[in-house]
Amino acid sequence: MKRIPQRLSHSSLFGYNKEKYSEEDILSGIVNNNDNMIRYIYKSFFPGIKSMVGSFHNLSLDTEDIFQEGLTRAVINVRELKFHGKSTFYTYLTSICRNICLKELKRPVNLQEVDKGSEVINGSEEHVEDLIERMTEVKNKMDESCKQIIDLRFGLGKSSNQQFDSYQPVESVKFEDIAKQLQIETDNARQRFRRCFEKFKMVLFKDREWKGLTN
Amino acid sequence: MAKYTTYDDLIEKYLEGSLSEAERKDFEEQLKSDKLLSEKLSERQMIQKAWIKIDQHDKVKRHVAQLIRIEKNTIQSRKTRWLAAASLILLISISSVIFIRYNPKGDERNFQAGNKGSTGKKSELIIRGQKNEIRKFGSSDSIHKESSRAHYLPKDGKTFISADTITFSWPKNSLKERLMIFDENWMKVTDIPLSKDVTEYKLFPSKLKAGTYNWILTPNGAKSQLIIKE
Repeated sequence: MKRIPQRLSHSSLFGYNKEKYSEEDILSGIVNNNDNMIRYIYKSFFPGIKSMVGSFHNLSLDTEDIFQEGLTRAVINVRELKFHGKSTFYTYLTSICRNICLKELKRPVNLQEVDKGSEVINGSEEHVEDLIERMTEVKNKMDESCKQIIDLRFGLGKSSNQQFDSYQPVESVKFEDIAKQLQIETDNARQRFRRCFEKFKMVLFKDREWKGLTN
Repeated sequence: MAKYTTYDDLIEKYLEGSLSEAERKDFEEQLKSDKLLSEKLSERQMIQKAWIKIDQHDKVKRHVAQLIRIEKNTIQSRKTRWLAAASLILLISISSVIFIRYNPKGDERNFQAGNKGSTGKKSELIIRGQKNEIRKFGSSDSIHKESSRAHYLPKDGKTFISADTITFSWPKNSLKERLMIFDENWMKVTDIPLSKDVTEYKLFPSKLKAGTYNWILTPNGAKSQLIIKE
């Protein structure tokens, strides 16, 4: 990664050295899962976002939580190539955080009008985010054994290095393999999955907010 | 419902790849004509994709949170280091001011030479050198002391000028109680009580006029003569 050269200040004696990265570096750092880049983004962009969030009153969410959620979404979108670099990463991150604030306040606004000329997440992406957010809430209410069997069936929890694989083919792990891992009978694994998955769908599809989002 | 369960089983088998080649072909053919089967497959795939996305989101968020925590700690420790450095500089500055202001050998020349009374409190007799008085006797303000020696008493017959500060210095273990100065006729000029912790006494120019004096340090009676000239 190319770093823009900058003269060291006296403060580098105390471990503080003002790095400055280009847009290309930032995006490349995110895609390549560079931890230092995430830290740099926090250090450089949090004060601005904090100021923007501060302009909203009556927010129940903490500024750090908003930044954390916004950065998470921005990182995922960059890795999934949903961010096309039409605006700076900072502007993109700011617009995501602003959307979170607006949603938190339940203020219906035309997001495209908020940031004319800059790249913001579009309506369909926003809709998917809402669906996923709702689904997350339902998932989080499930008991751990149910989450575990569904995770295993969907190929999660096999190893920790899958964490940033954006696109995984929709295929399921065989019940025989799950049964081996859990040291139970194959039929037992199948029944458990079916029961938990049905329960999940039932709760999700009965959910009023979900219905509102899908209709 | 029974049909749905069958569909569910069929879909699960299809997704895990355990259908035979013929069964898979039949399934895919059926998808084209059976809307319900097609919808149920889409729904099942959508949920799996979303489930994976939720998991991915959680993992990224945890990772981001961890890195933010690390960066916050780094910023905090950096602030602490700056604060420590600033405090140290402030402390050194204050110490320097105090040292310059109150150092007995400094310009102010404050020192205490007194005995401890019966109450154990320090004597109120404080001899304070006055800058003005030193200036009154001349611009040269030399202190007669051999720097190489830890203690010093003026040699017998030593001659000083009136602008000199005369130092009497003795070892710490050699306890002195009084410094008495007499004129050449052994008339007492001054009698200075010395506290136990004092190992040095400076006789400033204002104390003695030109003349010949005898001095005695009690109790062991160290004595000698000194001459002061204009």
